[in-house]
Amino acid sequence: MDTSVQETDEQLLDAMAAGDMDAMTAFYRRHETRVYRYLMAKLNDSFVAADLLNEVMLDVWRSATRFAGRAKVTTWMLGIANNKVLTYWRKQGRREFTELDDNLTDETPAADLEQAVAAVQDGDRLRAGMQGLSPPHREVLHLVFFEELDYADIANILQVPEGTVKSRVYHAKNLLKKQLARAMRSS
Amino acid sequence: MNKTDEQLNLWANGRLSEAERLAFEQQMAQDPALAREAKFAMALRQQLQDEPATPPGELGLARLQRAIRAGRQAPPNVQLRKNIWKPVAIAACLMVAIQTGLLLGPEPWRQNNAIDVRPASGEAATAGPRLQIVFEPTASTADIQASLRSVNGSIVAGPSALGIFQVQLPKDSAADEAAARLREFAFVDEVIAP
Repeated sequence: MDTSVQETDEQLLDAMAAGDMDAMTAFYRRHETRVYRYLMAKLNDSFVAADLLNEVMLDVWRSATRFAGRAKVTTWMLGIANNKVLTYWRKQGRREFTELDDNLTDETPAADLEQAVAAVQDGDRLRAGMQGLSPPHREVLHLVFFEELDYADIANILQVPEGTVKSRVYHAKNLLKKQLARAMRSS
Repeated sequence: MNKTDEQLNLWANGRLSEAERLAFEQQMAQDPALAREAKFAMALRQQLQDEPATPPGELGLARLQRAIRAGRQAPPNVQLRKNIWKPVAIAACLMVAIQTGLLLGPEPWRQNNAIDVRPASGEAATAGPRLQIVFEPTASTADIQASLRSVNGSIVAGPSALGIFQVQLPKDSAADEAAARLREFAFVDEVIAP
């Protein structure tokens, strides 16, 4: 079977469900970077991200027959990746950040936006600022600004209500602005 | 606030319809605070999009294909538990072999063919690049030594719980070339260059 770039994700999954390795290869090449970036945003550990990428793709291969088409393929695949990370954290005995209260009011003064805008354009400062966020905040900013996903899709991936995504994105941005403004002041 | 924030993010991602975009930009023109927020969102998006990523690439694909061909049906968490002790056992064997060699051998370092052993502390870290490597569970101590010698590398960390070692290369060595050389060994499962 010719697995050219024209084939949709759904067509590739259909072929994979029939055991077509070429389709799996095409699918991997198309989505490897996306899954890896997402795992890195969540884990910030290249060793574990590489291992879990392999597990996600194996799950995609094994579950291809079960893809129901209720969500986009990328949403479904990132949902698998999210579950892999949660399982990994559970094994490591880490908390899953389920206690993150997205409705908490932030009482601290707002960041100096001019400073934050200046800092966000500096790759190193942004990287440091992102590292300072909790994994759920880092993850949600990645899904909004890198994956450019709708809040409904993000809610689907994370298995949380859409309202939770909205407030998490809002808080994540505010926290990042504060980190960046602080970094500018201390430089 | 969240509604505006959502619109702002959609605007930065170019996801608003033409009419919505024009209306939002009009709003921005009249509200400098909103315009600054938009500038922040746009810059954040641009930086995240430009952030480099180095996924495993063809190496990862080869690993996946091997796993599929091997028909591993066990859930990954079971595999993970099962595999934890293999790299630990390999590392333990390696340490015993090296120590034995040093204690009983004819001072091999004087013949310029010693294994590059470094103390765990007391020496400044070498500035050369580091590779990540995973060996097949069947790799012997001699295999591991041979592969490390081929690139003048030393194990400086690992194995991690997932069986990953970190190999320190000498200063000025090319990580990609060393990775390619290591991949030629049949017992090397995976090598990731920085």
